[in-house]
Amino acid sequence: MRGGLLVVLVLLSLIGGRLVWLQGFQADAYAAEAVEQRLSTKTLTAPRGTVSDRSGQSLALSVDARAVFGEPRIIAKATCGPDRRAKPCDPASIAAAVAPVLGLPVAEISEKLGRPGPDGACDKATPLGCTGFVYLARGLDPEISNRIRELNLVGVGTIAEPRRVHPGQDLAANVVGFTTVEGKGAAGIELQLDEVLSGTDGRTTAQVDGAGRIIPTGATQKVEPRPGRDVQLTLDRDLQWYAQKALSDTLASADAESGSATVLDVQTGEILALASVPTFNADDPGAADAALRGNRAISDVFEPGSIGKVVAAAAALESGVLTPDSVLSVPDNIQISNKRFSDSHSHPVERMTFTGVLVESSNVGTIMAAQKAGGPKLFEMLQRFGIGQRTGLGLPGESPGILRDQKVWAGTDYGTHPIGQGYSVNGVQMASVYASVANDGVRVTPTILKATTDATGTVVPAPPPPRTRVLSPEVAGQLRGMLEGVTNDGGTAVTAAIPGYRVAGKTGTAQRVVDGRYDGSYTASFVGFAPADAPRLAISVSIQAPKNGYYGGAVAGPVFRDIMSFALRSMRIPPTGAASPLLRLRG
Amino acid sequence: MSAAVDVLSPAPAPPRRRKDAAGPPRWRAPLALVPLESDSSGRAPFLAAVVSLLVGGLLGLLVLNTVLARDAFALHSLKVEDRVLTDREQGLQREVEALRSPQSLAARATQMGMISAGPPAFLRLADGTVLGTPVAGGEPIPAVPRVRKR
Repeated sequence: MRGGLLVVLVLLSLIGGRLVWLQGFQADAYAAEAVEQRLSTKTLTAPRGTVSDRSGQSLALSVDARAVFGEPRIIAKATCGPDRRAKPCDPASIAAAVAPVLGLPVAEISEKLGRPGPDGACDKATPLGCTGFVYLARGLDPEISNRIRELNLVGVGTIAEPRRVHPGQDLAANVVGFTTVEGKGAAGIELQLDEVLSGTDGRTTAQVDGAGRIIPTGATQKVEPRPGRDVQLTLDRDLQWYAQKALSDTLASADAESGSATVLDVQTGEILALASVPTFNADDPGAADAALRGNRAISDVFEPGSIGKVVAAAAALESGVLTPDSVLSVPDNIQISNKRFSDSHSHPVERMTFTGVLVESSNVGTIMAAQKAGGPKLFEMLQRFGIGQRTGLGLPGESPGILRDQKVWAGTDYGTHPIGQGYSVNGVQMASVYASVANDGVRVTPTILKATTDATGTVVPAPPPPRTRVLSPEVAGQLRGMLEGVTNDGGTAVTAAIPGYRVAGKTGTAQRVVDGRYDGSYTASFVGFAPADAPRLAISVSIQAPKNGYYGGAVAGPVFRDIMSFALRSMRIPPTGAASPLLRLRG
Repeated sequence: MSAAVDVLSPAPAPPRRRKDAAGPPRWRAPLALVPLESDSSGRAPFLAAVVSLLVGGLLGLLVLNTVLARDAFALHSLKVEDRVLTDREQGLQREVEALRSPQSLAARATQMGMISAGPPAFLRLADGTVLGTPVAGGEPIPAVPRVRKR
């Protein structure tokens, strides 16, 4: 009887002692651990703004996706039952269960799940030496993450996170760019306007039970996320698609290296399409070569060649030394400093009108005209047209090209610059030159941002682009007339003509400078606008290194015609109905 | 109790008795404890009230907690449902966006045997003028017939 009592007493004091130990000495630690277990702080990711075209069709938008993560520290602590296959408990067996669902190699997952932490050890004895959290896969569809959840594995979980999707895949991919898996802008508009598009994350702190349900009486804190603003571009999604398609088709048929096209609204400076091929799928930028992800229309610079002759013509007309009908005696070659410049074909001395010089793209005639205008005037005109300067688009990766100061020009530079050599441009700059001619001599800085919209739906239009007068309206009108001859019979680009419309433009066939020297390949280009007598759109097309034909008129002209026809049709721009004036080409 | 003590205690003679001290002692009725009226019938409602208050309070707490917990459960399951519906909505939205992208529209149109139109022509209703040169879709674009050279 007494022995029993003693046993009870001992037991009671043991329990009492343990109680005192737990409640008295370790209370704080346990309480803290309990709170930590219950408290769950979740980041409320601010939704990233949508990038859309001018009519509001999405080019890039964020949707909810899932990420699957592993917790090596928890896995190291897990104890294995008798049957490892029934209840995976170590990195290898868990990886074997997860990998088929994620479609990833088992070894990769296994390595991640057994990953040591910074102190280098990860085993059952020192689970704290293991990495706490590691992503196994991101940007998953909810079904996949649901299947992972159903596996109910130790140390494997899923979380929601946004993913950027591009309904058009490669549509305007080189303009819109892409984001990193963390949702930060990495290229194109996504990078340029990252601050506008990304909002500010919020968070909730709440006490939750084991199943993650919020305990109603627990304290809850919530900071609402501030969503990013939507960005509306000036691009027209359909036109953009067509420009990319027309370019890709030509790339294939002409066996060319790359190409770009720019469509500009001449009155507003808005870029309606900015195509660069070959391109990439913006939904999977990692799979594409870095070279494909840039924007060739602004990053590829090339010597303009004959399309640059319009600047020399403008200089001659603007300084008043020539009119379109002035007659020049044009031989088939001319010596400038220590270099002989010749026309594309030999001919006797011809009496050509200035219009004829431009229409037939005579190098010698153009150089003679530039000589009459003088070097300073030519340089001034190149600068006024924005050559050698950034376009003002602000897109990342733009190269302004090279235009050397006239003060350092060597003798031959006075022969090269009039015919579009010795300096370099990008496609948008060239489109802008012709758009300025089309727009009565007023250069409107090209723009690609139409508006931004905040979370409350307030639309903030982009500021109107700056306008500068480059040419007098009279000279612009004269140039339009001269350029119209190019697409007419006798010009170099009848392939660019559109039945029923008056089209003005200029072909260019320039040798390419690759790694500092001419490598024998060509840039075939065409820049022009329509309708020539009431211009609305300017388009520049350049095709790099075509092997199946290389003349601008043959390779780039048809691309111009197709894109322009599509644009005129979709924008319902009628021809004026007026007939082209007769042009005098010979004196 | 104190009343009973008072009755039992030999109270000091009131002053009035002192005047009659010479008289023969009056017969005193034997004193006895007045039985307390047992009031069990009066206490029962009180007890019942207390118990019912306790039970009611407990039940109230229980109901309140249950309701709160049920709301938490409801909130949780609604959130899960919201999640599922959001997933579905976004899935459908993506599908729609993909279907109405220019390239899939073009592919569908080609499948249906449609072809791209050539350069546009317009009919001006005011005077019946045809602006542009109508070209049948799919036909090669005719070379420009104009000769503007002199």
